[in-house]
Order: sequence, then C-alpha cells, then structure tokens
Amino acid sequence: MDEHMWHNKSLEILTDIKEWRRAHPKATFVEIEDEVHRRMMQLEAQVLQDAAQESESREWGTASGQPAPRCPRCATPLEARGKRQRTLQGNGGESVTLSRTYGTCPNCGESLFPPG
Amino acid sequence: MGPAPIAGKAFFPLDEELGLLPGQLAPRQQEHLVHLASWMPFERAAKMLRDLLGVHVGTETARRLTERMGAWMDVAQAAEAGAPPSSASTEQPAPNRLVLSTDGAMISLVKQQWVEVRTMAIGEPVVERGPDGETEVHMGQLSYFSQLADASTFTRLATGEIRRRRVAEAQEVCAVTDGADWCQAFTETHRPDAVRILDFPHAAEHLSRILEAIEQAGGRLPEKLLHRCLHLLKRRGPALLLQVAHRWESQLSQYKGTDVHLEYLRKRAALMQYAQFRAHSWPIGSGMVESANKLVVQARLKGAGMHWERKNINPMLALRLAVCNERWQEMWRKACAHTRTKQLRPEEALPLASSSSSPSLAATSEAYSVSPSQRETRRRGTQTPGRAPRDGRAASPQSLGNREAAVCACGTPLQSFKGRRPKQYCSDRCRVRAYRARQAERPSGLSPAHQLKRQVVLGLVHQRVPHAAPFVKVNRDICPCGTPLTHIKGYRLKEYC
Repeated sequence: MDEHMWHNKSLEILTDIKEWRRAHPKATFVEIEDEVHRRMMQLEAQVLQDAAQESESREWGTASGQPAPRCPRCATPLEARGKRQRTLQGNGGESVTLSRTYGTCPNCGESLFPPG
Repeated sequence: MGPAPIAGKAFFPLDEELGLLPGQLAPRQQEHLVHLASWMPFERAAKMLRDLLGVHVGTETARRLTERMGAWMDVAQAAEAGAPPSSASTEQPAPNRLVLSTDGAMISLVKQQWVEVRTMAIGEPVVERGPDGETEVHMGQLSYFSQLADASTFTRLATGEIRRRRVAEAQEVCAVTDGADWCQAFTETHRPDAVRILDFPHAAEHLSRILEAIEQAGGRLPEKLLHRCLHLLKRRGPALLLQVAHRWESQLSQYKGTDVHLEYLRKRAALMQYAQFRAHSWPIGSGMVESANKLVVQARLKGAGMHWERKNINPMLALRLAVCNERWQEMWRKACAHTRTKQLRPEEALPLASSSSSPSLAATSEAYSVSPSQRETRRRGTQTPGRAPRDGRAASPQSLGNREAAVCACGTPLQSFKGRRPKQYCSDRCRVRAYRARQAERPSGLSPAHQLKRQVVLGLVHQRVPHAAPFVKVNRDICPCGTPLTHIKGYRLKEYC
C-alpha cells in the first residue's frame, strides 16, 4: 500500500473540492455534501483496491515464491496460470479492480479461461 | 480442427480470502441490493440502490442476484432444520408460554396457477388491560416460518424455527389454528400436549353459514340471533349451542348445507372452549398468523400484477423470513458460506491436509462443466450403448438431515418437491449443455468422419461437413448423434432420435 500515493490523492481531492466550492459559492449544504461524497468515493475505491490486494493470496506460485494453495477437492497444490483482473462496482459506482493470480488443479480439471 | 477443450474450474485464492461473491458487485453492495429487493420489486430496488449508494445495476441483474442469494438462503434455512439439536445450554431461560399458529395463503404463479404457501407464527402472549377494563391478550416476540411445500415437508422444515424458539422447552403452549387437519397434525408433531384452539372467526363463520342456510331456505330466525350465538359461544363455550342443534337436528337437516357445518363444529367442540381459554389468558383468534401471511408472504409476493415461477417462491420467502425475523445478518452470512462451498459435495470432498504453508480454499469460479474424472465418479449402473445414464448423483433430491442440498452443475441450488421427480438441472439450457459435454467426452467407435458429423450436430464444431449428406446413416439402430433408436413393430423405422 502506497501511503504517499494516498496522501497525494487526498490532497488532490481536497484541492478539487476547494475549487468546486469557489466555483459554486451559492451551493446548498446538500449539493456540497453530494460533491464531497462523490470525491471521497474515489478515494475510498483507491484505498479499498490497494488494501484488498495487500495479501499473500494475490500473487503466488513458483515465480513469486509464495506457496501454492491446495485444491478444495483433492488437496493437490494448484498450478499458477497467470493473473487475471476482476472489476467490482463499489460505493458511488466507483470501480475497484483486483489483479490476482489464478490456478488450476492438475488432478481435478483442466482450464482454458477462468470466468469472473 | 478439433473440438474445443472442456472448460474446467479455476481457483482464485484472493477472491476466497476477500469473501467476494459471484458477479460484478462488491459484497456489501450486493447485500444491500438483495436486502432492498426483499422489500420491494426488483426495478424499484435497483433504482433505490442507485439513489442511495450510486451503484448502477439493471432490473434483471437485481432479479437474478436476489433469486440466487435467496436460493442459498433457503438452503441455509433447510440446513438449520436438518441440523442435530444443539446440546449447549443457553443463558436465557426457556420461555414460559408460547402460542403457535399455522395457516396458508395463495400465491399466483405464471400460467394462471395458484399455490398455497404455508406459514407458521410463534409468539409469546402478553396480557394487558384494555380501555374498557377487560383483559386483552397481545402477542409479542413474534417469529415466522413460511414455505411452499406439502404439509409433511412443511412440518419437517419448520423444525429449525421450532427449535430456535425452544417450543419443546416452553412450559405451556397453545396452538390456534383454523381447524384444518394438517394444522392439527403439525401441532401433534411438534408439541402434542399443546392446548388446541379453533380460531374464533372460523367457528363464527361456520355458525353463520348454518343460520344463512336456514334463512335462504325460508326459515325465520329471531333478530340478532347470530350475534347472540357468538356471544354465547365466546362466553360459555359450544356446549349449549351444540345441545340445541342436537335437539333440532331433524329440522336442521332439511336445510341444505347445514350438515357439513354442524359436523365441522361437533368435531371440534373441544377446540371451542373459549371461556376456559380466555380464563387462562390464551388468545382465541389466529390473527397473528393472518398478519404473518400479510407481512411475510403477501407484502412481497402479492404485489400488483405479480406472477412467480414456482422455483423462486421459496428463495423469496427465505429472504422475507430473514428480514421479518430480524436475522438478516446471520442468514446472509450463512447463505454466503453456502455459496462458497457449493462445489463441494459430501461424496466428493476429500479430507484436506492441514498445512499452514498451503492454505486450502473453496472453488470460487463458476465454470459450467465438470472434469472428466468427476463425471466418471458420478456414473453408476450399466451403460446402454451410445447413451449415458441419467446422472442421479448430479443433483440428489433436496432433503433435510445429513445430506447437502442439490446443486445444478452451474451452481444454482435446486429444489425438489414431494411427489415430483428430483430435478437434476436448473434449466433446459444446463441439461443440453451437460448432454453435449457427456457426448463429447464419451469414447465412440465411430469413424473420424462420423465423429466430426456428430460434433457438428452437437454444435461443438462450426464447419461444414466435407462429405455428401451430413446425416449419412451407418447404423440403423443408432442416430447419427449416437442416441440408440427404438423401433416399434408396425411403425416406420426411425432414422433420427
């Protein structure tokens, strides 16, 4: 997790809010709240994305050196097949993209392209 | 060009660790969506989610996600009923008095069908003084159970809620019902010593029918006779009324329709001792289950113009029960847990080696078909040539007790109803897919050209058959797709299945 990046993002959001407020001097409380909320959702999505990917399960296999998880059916260590992205929609419609390693079980099945 | 390889299952350890659910919504947003859709139509739920949280989903997505999570919540609920009784003692003492009530409500299905949803309500009676000084019995601590099922299945499935409310441990229990036989059987199963009470409005209705039949046949009755009879019934019980009916039986029998209602009341005389019941502060009306029907069933399932598919009734009821019983968080967690373990079936799960360096995980992907080894382990019995047997283990009937709920190969939980053949697939689409997958992997003794033709027929290969007619018959007893043909004497020989 890059705290420096978060800090920069926060500063950017605060600056944007200040500019917006200067551009909308007659904005009501609800309008200000909506704008602030919208900006904060962007920060939330970024922080959530970084925090969620801060896990050993994100990248594993022989290349990364992390031990491979085991198949839930036969307990055979999974074979890493590369990384795939998954995008979720969070609060405010902001996208949270997770890039993580996926694997297949050499004993149970074959795989071409993982869904999700 | 060979056939496309079979898609198997991939595992995403991070998804499992984060507890992500299938779909494109974050888990919390999906929970909010399903929660909203438990209260209001899907389109409105999607709109409200957009207005409240800024999350954009379509109506069909809302419907699909809600029905899927509802199905898993239904599975979790059934698992509660089938779980063995917990021997752990609870801190809270057993309830002193409980009231049970059961009833049914009709729900409209597609194709102009109507089905009865059975509902049970459990509450604790609280005695209060009314404004006129009379004691009134109100019900508190209400909880419910509803299911579209036959009477015996409903009785079994209600065990979870019965156990959770500790009905068996309560000192006194009464059952207020409308006199239907299945309600009496239900009470007999769960609490045989319960005080049985016939719902007063139902008794009043039958009494009213008797007097109506007399009036319609030309008989003259004193003014406000019904009102006086009901007052007598409530204050002194049915003895006097039944005595009068017995004395005038020969005259009453000439009025059409009175026999049935009289017999109904005679049969349930012991259930109409309202004076005694009121003296013991029991309720004499089943209003609590009537309002349960309105709250649990009708509020969501009987909206304007709503018609449901049978398979979606119980999932929606499971969501409503979680909401109305104020167990949303608990049931949501259980449903999510079932979603993550859906691919593991008791006959397939092997004991996992516990190792801190190799964490085990449940499947998180949703690929359709299963691996050849899994299909092989499921097959049983002898195979007829050219035809794979029905895979009875692909979806065993949903049941309580020790067996897991049935799951289609695509992951959708299946429901089965008593008296109907157990379902193996959630839809025709899944059935056709499974058939094609079986056909594709089954070794055949056909020539390469014929194999190619068969794959074209199955839709596995999109190319023109290079030879003459695509359906050149090689064997009169087997269709080109491999299905054996049945020839009936006296009829023209079949060429295709």
